[in-house]
Amino acid sequence: MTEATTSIQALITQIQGGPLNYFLALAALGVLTMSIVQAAKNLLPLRERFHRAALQAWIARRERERLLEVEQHLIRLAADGNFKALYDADTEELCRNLEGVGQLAVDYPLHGSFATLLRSMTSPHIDDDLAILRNPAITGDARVEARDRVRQHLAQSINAFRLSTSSRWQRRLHLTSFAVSFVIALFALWIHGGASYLWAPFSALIAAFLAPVARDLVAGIESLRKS
Amino acid sequence: MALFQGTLHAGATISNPNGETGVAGIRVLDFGDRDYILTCAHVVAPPWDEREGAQIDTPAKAPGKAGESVFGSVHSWSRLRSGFTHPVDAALVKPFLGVRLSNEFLRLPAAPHRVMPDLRQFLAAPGAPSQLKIQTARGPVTGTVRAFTSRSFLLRNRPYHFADILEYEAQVHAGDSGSIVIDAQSRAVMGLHFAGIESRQGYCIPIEVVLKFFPEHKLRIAK
Repeated sequence: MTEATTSIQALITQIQGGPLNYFLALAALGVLTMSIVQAAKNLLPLRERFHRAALQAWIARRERERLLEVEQHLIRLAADGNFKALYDADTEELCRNLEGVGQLAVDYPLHGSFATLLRSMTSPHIDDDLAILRNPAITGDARVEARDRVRQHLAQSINAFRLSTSSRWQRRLHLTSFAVSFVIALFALWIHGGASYLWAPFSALIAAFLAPVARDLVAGIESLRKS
Repeated sequence: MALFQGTLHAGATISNPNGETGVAGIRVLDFGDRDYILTCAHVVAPPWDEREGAQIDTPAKAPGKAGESVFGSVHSWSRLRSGFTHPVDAALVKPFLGVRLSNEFLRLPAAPHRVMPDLRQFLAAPGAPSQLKIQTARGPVTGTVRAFTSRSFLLRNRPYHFADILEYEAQVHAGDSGSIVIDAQSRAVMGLHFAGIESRQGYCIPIEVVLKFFPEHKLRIAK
């Protein structure tokens, strides 16, 4: 009995001295990295620029010549002309507003520049249906069916934009986290002389790779403990 | 908030944010061919919770679970005031962008014959059909026409009076409000089922009256 207790205590001491400490250090590194990334996101117009570039590229597929005009129109309708409010919102919110504008454009295709707006938000496959919507002489079931198709197409188009934009944003965040973790780990290793100049970058690379994972694990365990 | 994507068929169950449950009656179009779901005002905008833009779920959700599958928002409705006589109990729900509305399952006749004109006169004529169908979420329910009447109904213990409504015998239940009533023979739309006595009889407002209640929209029934 005493032998078993001693063995278990020895094992725990060994784990505490080795892998556990390393894991906790990685978790702390993860938290520090995430805090830096979050602060940068809050203080710098990173998301604003990212969203603007993404939206401009999306519009430019069809309306490269009238890009700025369409963009201004979108901002006016989606965010009352508040450029920052629209682009600084998260991707989900941005796309919800785009859906609102899209709905308006489908409902009133003959109004002002809504036709250009619709064209910029859809692909060439739907041009025949857009032509029907733009022609007030076409009424009845043909018009209703064309509107149905345009609505479905537009919804899918915005969903695709949402998916690709949020995926690219997440990938950028992951890469940034990795880079920040790497720099911090490298700095720590060099300052404290824990590793040789050759070994330090390699250690930092492993730490940077594992830090976000460790941080997520700690957050998961913490939320489980709270619930 | 989760969004419903796909086709919403007339006859699906719907609910308002507080969990009031009913049926998506029928797809209607306005003068600009914009489409809406026609249903009962007491389902989507009841007197105790009237909100323009309130988000409506499908399928219907229990109170507290509303917002799980939103398909559209309340656009226009007839205000219900207790103690007053009302011509209709109807509301229009505007679908969100990714939602397609369909009357496919109603198998309606071609355009000029979709609405039964002057229902009272039609039913008074000798040899007029007496069988009707109510397109509930459980499927079509057969009923027998009785007569035009006027009466009061209780909603949360408050009386709401309705004049010129059609009474019929049918196995209707709570939650069937908003269903469309169709002539069993011609399949022309007769009215909007809005009230009933559990498993015994139901009441509908003639569809012509409902469509004309929103004059600015110039509503018509979609294919």
